[in-house]
Parts: sequence; structure tokens; C-alpha cells
Amino acid sequence: MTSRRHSLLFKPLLKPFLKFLSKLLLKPVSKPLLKSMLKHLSILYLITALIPAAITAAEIAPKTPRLADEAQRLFNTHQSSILQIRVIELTSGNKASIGSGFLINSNGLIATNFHVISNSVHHPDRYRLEYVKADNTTGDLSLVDIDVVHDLAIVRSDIRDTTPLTLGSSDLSKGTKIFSLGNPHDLGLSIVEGTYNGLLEKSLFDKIFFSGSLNPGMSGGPTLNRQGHVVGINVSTAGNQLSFLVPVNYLKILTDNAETVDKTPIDHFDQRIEQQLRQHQSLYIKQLVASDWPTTQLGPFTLPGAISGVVKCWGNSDDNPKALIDHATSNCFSEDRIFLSQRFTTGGFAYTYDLYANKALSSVHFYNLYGANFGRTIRVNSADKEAVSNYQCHTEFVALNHKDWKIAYCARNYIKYPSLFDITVTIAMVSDNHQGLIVKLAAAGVDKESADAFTNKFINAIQYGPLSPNPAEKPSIGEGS
Amino acid sequence: MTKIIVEELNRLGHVTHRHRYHSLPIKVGRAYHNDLILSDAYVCPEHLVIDEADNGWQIEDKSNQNGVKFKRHSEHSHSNQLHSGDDIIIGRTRLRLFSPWHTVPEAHTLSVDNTLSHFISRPIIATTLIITAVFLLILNAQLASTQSLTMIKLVAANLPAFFVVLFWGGLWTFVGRTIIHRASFLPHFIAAVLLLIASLLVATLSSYIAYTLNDRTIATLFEFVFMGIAVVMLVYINLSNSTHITRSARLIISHSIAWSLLLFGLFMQYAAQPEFNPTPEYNAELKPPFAQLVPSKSPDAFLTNSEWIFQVDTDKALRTSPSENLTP
Repeated sequence: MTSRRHSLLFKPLLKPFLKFLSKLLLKPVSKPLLKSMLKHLSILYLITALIPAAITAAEIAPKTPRLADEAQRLFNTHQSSILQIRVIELTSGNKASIGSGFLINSNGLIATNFHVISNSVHHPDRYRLEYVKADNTTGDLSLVDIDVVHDLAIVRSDIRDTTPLTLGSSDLSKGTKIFSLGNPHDLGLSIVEGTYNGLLEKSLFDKIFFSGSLNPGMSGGPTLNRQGHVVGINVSTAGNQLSFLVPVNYLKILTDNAETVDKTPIDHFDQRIEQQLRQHQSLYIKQLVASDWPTTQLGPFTLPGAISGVVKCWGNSDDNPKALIDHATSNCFSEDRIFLSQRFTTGGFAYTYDLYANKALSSVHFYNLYGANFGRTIRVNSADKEAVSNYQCHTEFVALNHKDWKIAYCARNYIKYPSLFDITVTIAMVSDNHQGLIVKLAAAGVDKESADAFTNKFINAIQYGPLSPNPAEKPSIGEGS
Repeated sequence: MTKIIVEELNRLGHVTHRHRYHSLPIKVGRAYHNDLILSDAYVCPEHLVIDEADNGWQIEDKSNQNGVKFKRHSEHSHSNQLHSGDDIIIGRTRLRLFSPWHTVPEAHTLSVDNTLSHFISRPIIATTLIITAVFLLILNAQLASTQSLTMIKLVAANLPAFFVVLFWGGLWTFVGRTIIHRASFLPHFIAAVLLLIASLLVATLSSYIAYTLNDRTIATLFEFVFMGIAVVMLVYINLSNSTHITRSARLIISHSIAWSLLLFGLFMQYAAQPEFNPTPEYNAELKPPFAQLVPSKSPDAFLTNSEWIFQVDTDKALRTSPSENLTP
């Protein structure tokens, strides 16, 4: 089919070329001929440009099936297993949000994202769940289990007659073509081609980096390999073909667990969420505190550098000659956020350094300006009063490595998950008239033990002056690199 | 020999004219042949006659309109007999009759507040205080500036404070003019300048207290008490310079004004606080090393002392402890 199309294109181009060749060979060169030659030469250029392209296409086409066809095949085979998930607001009876999901076993279990169905988890009295299949049949869904850290949820439907998708493995090599399915913007089921680009390296939890366009509404949909096996679950996008998938392994764990849950249904999802968050933060903070931290130099200070592979650091300095004090800043943060609700994300941590040097001010004036930054803390999320309590702060002078510092340690409690807190620690050196350093540390969704351990390690790693090579004066921790 | 003194009083009870008579009777009215001629349209041309009586005077009502009323301050008065110190009201005029031997109260001793008012009104003191206030205001603005400011900007930043002080001085001058017919701007103005200086010093001291004690409450209490005392003193000086009320009345009024103003401010501050604050609140000022008067703690002690910040508000929290019996 394709080779015939190319030959049809080839014939009308070949005719004038042959005509021109015969003219050239049979007649002597004259002025009109030269004109005509030039004219035909330009055509020749076009033709020669076209011929190799036409020939290559004609040669390659029959050997491998086109990707579009592959997508078509996958779409046709699996579209019935993929559903739209709707969260219905009970009072209005209208959908409050939509997402995608897919059948994972013959008992009607459906996998989707936690963030798709989160409203019904937090407010089961205000929302219910329903599915819409490709053939427009609908039905109710009930919540079975969730994995809030990896943004996964399993719901139960009454679908029994549809073949479920097979869960494959996300152990692929970079560059593998994969296909994402879902219902973008409620426009209907669609398939998106993209490339597997490995697991995200700078992340607290595994995520597949998918070079393809995921759009709102596709969340919870499956991403398949060529064999039609699920390799990941669509979860988020950073725009411009930067999309992320949850590796299918986490879904497998959740599915296995769903069998247990079947026997003893979960009635307190708040407790389940709290337990999962607590387990996650305790594990990563433990690893963080146990690891050796590399150090970084900021002015005369030796400070924790990128303390984990998941941290991204940036730096800047003021070069305003009119400014009365010199200011350099450096900030590091982990980008991972665990979705709890539209306005409430958690997980992750951040820390910043602000170095100030007094040019020629009185110490009172210098401390006034330097202190203006002491009250500004890192904002870890935009949780509202339904989600968190007010911060409680303890402020004191603390001696760290022979210098006096003022530390404000603040924590606020998660109302639904009382063992978890957002913490901010603001630390300012107050023993020097000529320079100052403000260190800010924040972590979201940690328990008291993790918060204390992390804070303790961090504040002890703050050192004035270079790290001492003399073992007698060796600082307790903070000797990474 | 003076037989009677007749005072004309205005409606506030202040003496406007004082007449001295050597013989009685005295004819009072609007007509020009009277001994006491009143320019009050509600007084008849011949309204009354004051004549001698036992131990006082008797009044003969000659009016055909409006009549005569009495306001007696002395005891044992008969219907139309008056004694020294009693008032006659005719038309809209109040007359007070005195015998030359009427006893007057002892002189007030010059009080401390009068000497203080005089002291701060002395040109050299007033100038010094104004210059001190300007200096402190500018210093305050300069120490808070993030860039080097020109003098014009520094002055402009402090003009509102000076307008408030001017307004306060002007207000009390007006009060004084109305009540005691004496408009003395300088003591009021300088007293307000003194308050401005005091408030700058108290605020600075309070921020240092809050910094070194790591406690805003004690600093606020300190600020409240000292500002209260300063405002009481200001209002007291204002009252003594613009009214003739007694010392105890002055104290009561100045205390009520000062503390109600401060309590109102405190209440408004409390009421304006949002129920939920997404950012932490702590005493976020930093001071130079000399201001640290308490020794630093060790990190471990600090973390132990901080434990209370993790206390869960059990009223708000839906549950107090996580359930332990869930499958992982």
C-alpha cells in the first residue's frame, strides 16, 4: 500500500525529466534552450531531492509496522479495560472531578490515582465514585485501599465481563516506546505515545520519567508497553512532554494487599494515610540522618551541602551597590510532594542559607537589617485551618560550635493525622558584629522523633570557619566531603 | 465704706463683672437710671431693688415679667432674704451678692504639676526636648532603613508623628481656651513631645527585653505598664493646664483616659489576630551580641525545652493517637 503510493508520486515527476534529457541530447545549445535548461535544472534539483526520500521510504515501510498502527492495535485491544472515574458531588449530583482508571483483575478491581478519588476519601459523606466505560455504561465504585505516598488507589466495581489489563514490569531500558491511555479533559479515551526515560533520580520515591504529553484527566490511566502490559500509572506532568508515572511494582504491592483488605475492609482511611505517611517519612529521615552529609562553604561557614541525592540546590547573591549590607543566599529543596488534597500536600524538606556581611554600619543597624529575614520562614505547603493547627514556636539562644545562635523551632500539627507535623527551624548567628548567617530548615509531614533527629543533626552540622583538620577539635558531625 | 459687692456671672459660673456699692438700696434693671444697669433683654427696665435687712439683704421684686429666682448657698434664709454668697437670677443674668467680710478659702499651694508645666515650658528645656525627639525619631528611622536615606526622606518619614503631637497640643489648648479662658499651647505640646520620647525609649527597651528573654509577653507587659504611666502623666499635665478641676478628679480622669486607650489598643490588636496563621509567629527581631544577657543553651537542652511545641491540641485533633493494629 505504501510503496504503491510512492510510485504514483514518482511517475509525473519522471516524465518532464526524460523529455528534458532527450532535448538536451538531440539539439545544439541555443539561447532559448539555455533558458529552458536552467528552468529544468531547478526542477531536477527538486526531483533529486525527492527521489532518495521516496526510495528510502519505499524500502523501509514494509519491513516494520508503523508506531501509529501499534498504538491503534493497543487502543483497540485494551480500550474496554480503561474507564473514566468520576467523583460525584452528592448535593448537586454533578461530577466534581474526573480521572482515569483500569481493570486489574476479573473481580472488578480498578486501579487509579489517589488524587483522582481523594475527595471521596476525605469526605465520604459528600462525594461518591462512579465509572464510565468506553461503551458509556456506568456503575458505582467503592474504595478498597490506597497508597497515598505513591498516589495509588484501588476501587471495586461490578464489572465482571471485561478482560483486565496484565500488570507487567517497569524494568525497561531507556528509550523504550510506551503508550499512555486516559481521558484528557473529558474529551474521550485517547492514547499518547512516549518514551520511557528511566526512574527519576532526584526523588524521594520512585517515579518513571515519561517523555510524552499527559494531560489532566489522564491521571490514573495505564501506560502500556508494546505487549500491552501495564508498566506504570499516569500521575503527573511538568508540561512540555515531561510526564511522570508511578512504577507498576507499587500497584502490585497494593493489589496483593487488597486481597487481605478484602477480608477486613478498611473503615478508617485517615489512619491508613497517617500510617503510610509516617512510615515513609520515618524511613527517609532515618536514612538521611544516618548518611554522611557533604559540606558546602558559604563565606566563613561550613554548612551541610546537598545532603541527599533528592536535593536540588541553587544560589544567588545581591549585587546592589546601594545596599547597606552584602547578602548571599543558597537554597536546597526536595521537589517531591505527596498529594493529600487539592490544597494540602506534604512530604519533602528544604533548607536555605542567607549570609550577611556588614559593610560599614553600626552593629544595631546591621542587626536590624539582618534580623528582618529572621521572621520569614520557608512555607512548606498551603494547608488551611481544616488541615493543620497554628504553629507553636520555641525560641532560645543556643551555643553551636562555640558561637551563639538564636533558634526558633516551630511545629504545627496535622489535624487528621495527629502524629505528623510541619516543622520550621530558623537559626541566626548572633555573636558577631560584622557578619551574620541565617539558616532555615523546613520539613513537611514528619513525626516528632524524625523532626528532632533531623533538626539535631542539622544544627550540629553548622560550623563557623573551615572544618578543622585537628581531630581534637573535630566537630561532632558534618564531615561529608 | 463698701456695703455690698455684686458679681455678674456667665452661664458657666465665671465672674464677668464685679460691682462695689457703698450705700443701699440698689436698683437693678435695664433702664439707665438704675444703680446696676443690665443689658439683658429678658430683664425689665426696673426689675428689682436690693435693700438692707437683718443679717443680709432683702429683695423687692419690681418686675412685671419673668420675675426673680434665688439660689441660696447660705442657711437660714427667708423667702426674700438673702445672705452673702447667695445668687439672684433675673432674666438670663445671674448675680451673686457678697458682703465685704465674706470669708474666702485659703490659697492653693502651687502644685508639682504646675511647676512641671512651667519647667517644661521654659524655652531652653522645650527646645532641648524637641531636638531630642527629632533626633530619636530620625535615629529610629535610620536604624531601620535598608538603604542610606537622605535627610529629607528621614524627616518625611517622621512627619506624621509630629503632626499627631501638634494636634494633641492644639486640642488641649482649645480645651483650655474653652474652659478656663487660657490658651497655653507650649506645655501641652511639650508634654506630648515628652510622651513621644518616652514611647520611643519604651518600645526600644521592650524589643531588647523580648530579644534577650525570648518572650514577647513580658516585653508587652512592660510596654503596657510604662506606656500607661506615661499617658496618665501626659493627660494629667493636660488637665492641670486646661481645667480647674481638683487633683483627685484629674487623677481619676487621666487614669481612665490612659488605661482605656491602651486597653482599647490591646483589644483591637488581639481582635485583629487571625484565627489561623499559615506562618509561624515568634519574636523575630535580632539584636547585636551585647543584648544577649542570658547564656546560650546546648543543642540537646534546646531540643528538650522545645518538646512542648509538639503538643497536640486535643480539642482540634480528631484522634489523639494513631491506630497501631493496621496492616502495613
